[in-house]
Amino acid sequence: MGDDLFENLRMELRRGSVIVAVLAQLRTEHYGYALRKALEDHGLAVDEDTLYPLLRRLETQGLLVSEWREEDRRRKRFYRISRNGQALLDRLLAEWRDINAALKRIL
Amino acid sequence: MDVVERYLENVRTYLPGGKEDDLVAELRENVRAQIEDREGRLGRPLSEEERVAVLRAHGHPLLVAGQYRSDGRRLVLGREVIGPSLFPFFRIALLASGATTGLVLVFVALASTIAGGRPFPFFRTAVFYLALQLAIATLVFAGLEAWFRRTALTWDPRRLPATRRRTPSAIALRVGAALQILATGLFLWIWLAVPDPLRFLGPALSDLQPGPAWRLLYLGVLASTVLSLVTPALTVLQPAWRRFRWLASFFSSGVFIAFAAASIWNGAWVLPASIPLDAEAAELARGLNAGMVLGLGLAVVVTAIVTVAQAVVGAWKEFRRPASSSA
Repeated sequence: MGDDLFENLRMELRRGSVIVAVLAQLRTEHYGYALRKALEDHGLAVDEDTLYPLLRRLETQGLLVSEWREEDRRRKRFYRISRNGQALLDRLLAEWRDINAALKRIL
Repeated sequence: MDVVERYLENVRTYLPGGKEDDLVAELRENVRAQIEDREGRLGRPLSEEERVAVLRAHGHPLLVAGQYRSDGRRLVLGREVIGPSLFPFFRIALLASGATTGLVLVFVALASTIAGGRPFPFFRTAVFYLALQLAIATLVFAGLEAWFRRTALTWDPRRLPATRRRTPSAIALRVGAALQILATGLFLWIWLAVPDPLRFLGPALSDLQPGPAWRLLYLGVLASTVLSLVTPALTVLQPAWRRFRWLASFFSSGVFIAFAAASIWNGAWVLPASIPLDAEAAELARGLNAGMVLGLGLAVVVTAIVTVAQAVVGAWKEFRRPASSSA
């Protein structure tokens, strides 16, 4: 039960953080696997079955834009943050900084 | 088929209709990039085991496709019972089986009203069956969720089914459908020739006559058989057009279930023929009617289960189909 509870809470904590990280990372254009590697290189490993569907969801919500383009003679789908996504990211980061500061004071 | 392609084709099976090609192309590119990246680091091609490990890390095709359908909803009963990947499929199963049950019960209620006698308890029956379906679907999907979690690190992409489907030719479809029409026509001819089965069962049952329940069942089988001709007739006329064919089967089975259930509800398939009432004939009629309740009840339950399963599969295929597709 303790492990289940921890896992549930950990997932809750990660869910929002991953979205912020993806939006922030996509201020520079990436395709799926390159984005996953970039996040991993920054210490945030995200499962493939979470990340790729998330990109589609964020695009559907108008926070990302994407296009198929050829790179190294291969067609890849490149994502970058949209104007709406950037505005939302700014607000989320402000919120995150407030929470972070509050937590620092509490801890 | 290459294990990667087999995996991708299995993912495609469960993806939302109209987006499969795009999603699979992107997934293919990402998997390929990951394999090449790992090969670049190792300085050699990946072994099959290593390729399998890459696919395993992506997740089971059903869960991957489920993520593309997910809106984040899940079922939590104290702890997560059905996760966000399986929840969309759980919702589809519930909607399809609930709608099918509702339709079947409407059929039964209408047939009962036409048959007269005791009123059919529609709402009580609907609540009972919907609650039963909710419980069964929850148990099944919770079991699936637990199984996927337990096998997350051990499932084998090489064991996924090959998904290439061979479509039979138009001639084969037409010939099959024509034979079906012939067989159904033969059955109809025999059925119309035997409106009173007791006459054919000899002098032992001469003290009995068909009751109102038999007439309901007779009409139900007749109507259901006529409706079952719609699908093969459509196949003969337009073999390529396959949309919503399952609806014809659904209505054919639904009519049988409705009339059979109404006849069970009525309960009097045979009645004593003699007046004044012969005690022995009355006892024989009681025994036969009790046997019919059991036998026909079983047939109705089995047909209902098959009908619901077919409706779920049919609805699922419609749900997956691109909006532009007409065949």
